Amino acid sequence: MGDYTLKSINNILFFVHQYVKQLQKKWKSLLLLFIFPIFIISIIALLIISLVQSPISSAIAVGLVDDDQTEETKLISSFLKSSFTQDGTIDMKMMREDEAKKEIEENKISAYITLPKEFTESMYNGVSLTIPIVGNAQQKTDSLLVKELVESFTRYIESAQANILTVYDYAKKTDMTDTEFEKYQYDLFIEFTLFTLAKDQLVKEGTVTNIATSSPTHFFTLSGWFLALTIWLFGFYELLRKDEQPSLVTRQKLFGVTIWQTVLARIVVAFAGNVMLASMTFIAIANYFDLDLYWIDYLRLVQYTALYSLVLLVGIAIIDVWIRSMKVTILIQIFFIFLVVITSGSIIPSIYLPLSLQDILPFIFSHETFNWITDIALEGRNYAEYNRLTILMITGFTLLWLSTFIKERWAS
Amino acid sequence: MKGLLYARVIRMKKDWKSLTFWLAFPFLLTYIAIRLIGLWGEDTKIPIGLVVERESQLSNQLIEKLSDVAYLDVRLLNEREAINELEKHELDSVFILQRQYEEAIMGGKRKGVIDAYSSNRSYAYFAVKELVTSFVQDDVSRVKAAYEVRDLFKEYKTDEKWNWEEIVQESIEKQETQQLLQTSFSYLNNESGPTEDGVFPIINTWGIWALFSLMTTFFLFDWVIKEKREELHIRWLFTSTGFEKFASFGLIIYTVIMILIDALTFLLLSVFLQQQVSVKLWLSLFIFRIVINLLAFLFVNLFRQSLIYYVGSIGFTLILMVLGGAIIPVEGVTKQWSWVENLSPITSLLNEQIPYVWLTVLLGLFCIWYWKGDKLRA
Repeated sequence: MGDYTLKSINNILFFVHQYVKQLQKKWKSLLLLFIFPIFIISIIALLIISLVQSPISSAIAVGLVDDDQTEETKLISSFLKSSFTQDGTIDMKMMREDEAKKEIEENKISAYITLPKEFTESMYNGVSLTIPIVGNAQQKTDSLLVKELVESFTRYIESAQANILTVYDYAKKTDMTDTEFEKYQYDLFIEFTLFTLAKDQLVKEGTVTNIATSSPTHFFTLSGWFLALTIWLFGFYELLRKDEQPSLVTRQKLFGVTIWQTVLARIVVAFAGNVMLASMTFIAIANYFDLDLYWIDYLRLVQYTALYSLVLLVGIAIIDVWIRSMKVTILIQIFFIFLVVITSGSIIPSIYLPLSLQDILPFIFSHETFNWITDIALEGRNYAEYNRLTILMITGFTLLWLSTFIKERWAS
Repeated sequence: MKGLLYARVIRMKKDWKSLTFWLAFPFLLTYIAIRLIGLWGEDTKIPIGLVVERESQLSNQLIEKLSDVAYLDVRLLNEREAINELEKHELDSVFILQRQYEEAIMGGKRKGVIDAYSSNRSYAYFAVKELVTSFVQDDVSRVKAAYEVRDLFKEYKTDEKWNWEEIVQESIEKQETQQLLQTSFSYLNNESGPTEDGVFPIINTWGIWALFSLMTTFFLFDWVIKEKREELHIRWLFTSTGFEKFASFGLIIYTVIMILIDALTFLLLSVFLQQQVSVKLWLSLFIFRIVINLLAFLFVNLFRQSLIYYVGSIGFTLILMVLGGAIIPVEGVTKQWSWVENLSPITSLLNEQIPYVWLTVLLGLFCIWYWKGDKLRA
């Protein structure tokens, strides 16, 4: 037995050595692997920043087409125009329909709204009315934003209109003359419209900031790092894969080499490589943001990162052991990683995840790890607990061992 | 020509199982993904905190209305708890109804009756605030109407009795029964409406299809690597057709088959997911297929080992997806630098356009590749 264990350890060490050599030979791929997540995450960050900031730096251009051309619609148009312009999100211009179409084709405006011909008539008489919004397919996000804004606006006007019509009904019961009623109708209409447009007074707004996490930049940088870490783990593991001929596998078997030994060696090498990249980048981030961390915090972060890496690698390895086709293996591993990342709460904060998923989140290792990491790194949490992750890791390794064992029996 | 076709058919027959799987894959996965996203949308509730400083009839009505909104998870808390949870990012936003809430509204004063708090990670705050405002505005506006009627009655001294409840009821009824004002949305020169799901307007069915389609196209084109193996190299010296001709023929066959499968996929998707496919979109989708097949073909020719090719192609797919705006819209960037549109063929697909730049460049590269290979042989 002792002899067998020794041989097994020897074999594992031999493969670790082999894999390290293999990695050294693939230094170009390694460099790509290192850069790739950083590249992708920077692009995503750039896109999000430009998307969030674009409405502020340049208001969305919207056309307003008044087909009715009555006193009322003219007033409403100018109210709308000034109200939106004040907000700064929308730059509204009056134009004719053919002009508006042309401007969309020339990609100058994001959408246009039409006040239809029978607008005033219908408003006074309570006839159902539809306001068409025409969007620009080249600026979909902005078009949809305009759609949302106009929809919310029509909801306000609809509610105001129900009230206007109610008052009209009562006004008709009084002994008002027709000319008086007409004037009253107009005045009330304008009054309610103005009243509705000033609805923003209702709410007094404030922002709450937690000092430790004052900027979302810190949080999302850590998210990015966590994502990069996950991609590196997967990349390392895949780069260590070899197209092995069956004849070689048989020969290895004769020398007492088991799947378990090769897989373990792969995990060890991938883990070591990943720890290197992850700590380098983390120290860079911590320095850049001046995170207030003590050596004990670093120790804890290393432990969490290590546990997470091992559990993830074991998961990837189990999939690898059970599925024969290389393409399908890679595919399922990608789904696995996708799920791990989504449930971690690093990309989408967990309160926006489905409720049915939220119940099981505390039991998911990526979620647990990411929470601990952000708590320790950003909130200055001074406490750590590894039991669950450690148990999970041990279970994972046991499962992996069992899988390789069964697989080997099966094969022979 | 016949020989080439024959050789290809034999190859495909050999692994028809995996071929069928990968051809059906984009449809199946797109379908599943869209369904899952739909479920996600239905199952996601935005947690908001509601603080009522003093209970009243109007505040209870508001709580009831907000609780009825399917996508909100309203939690009644006291101010300290609520702000604390917001700080910990366990709530999206917090709304505080002032102590004088009912009196203020009944008195026609609406300024600052609600305090709203958000954090720097509140994604839904704007939408929720709009919703709360619209509910409160409803009440305020009705009160105004009732006073308007009272003034009318005073001025004209009618015998009618002024009844608050009656007026408010009438207004509510009017708003609920008559659909007074609606909006319709469409894109210019496009009969189909927006194809988005309510909660995730950015996610586009064709964007998801493009992701799975790109991935499988790369995976399917691994035959080029198999045909290029060292052992087989010598074969090309003795045959009348060169490797370039053989491989290009394979490319054409695969493209034809994939176009047929794509057509089926689009039909099925349009039926199962109620997606409308306009003529422009059909054209765009087919050109997209040609572009990605050329791309996969040229890309695979850069590799000798299939494993590195698979991993590389996944990375490449991811980059094209991100640059193409299928995950996050690229409009913020393209507004400033319009050339960004040309970085990924997916952008053109999502805009229902034809990626001319990609098509020309890839065809050019293909010609160079073909001509170079021919040269080498001669």
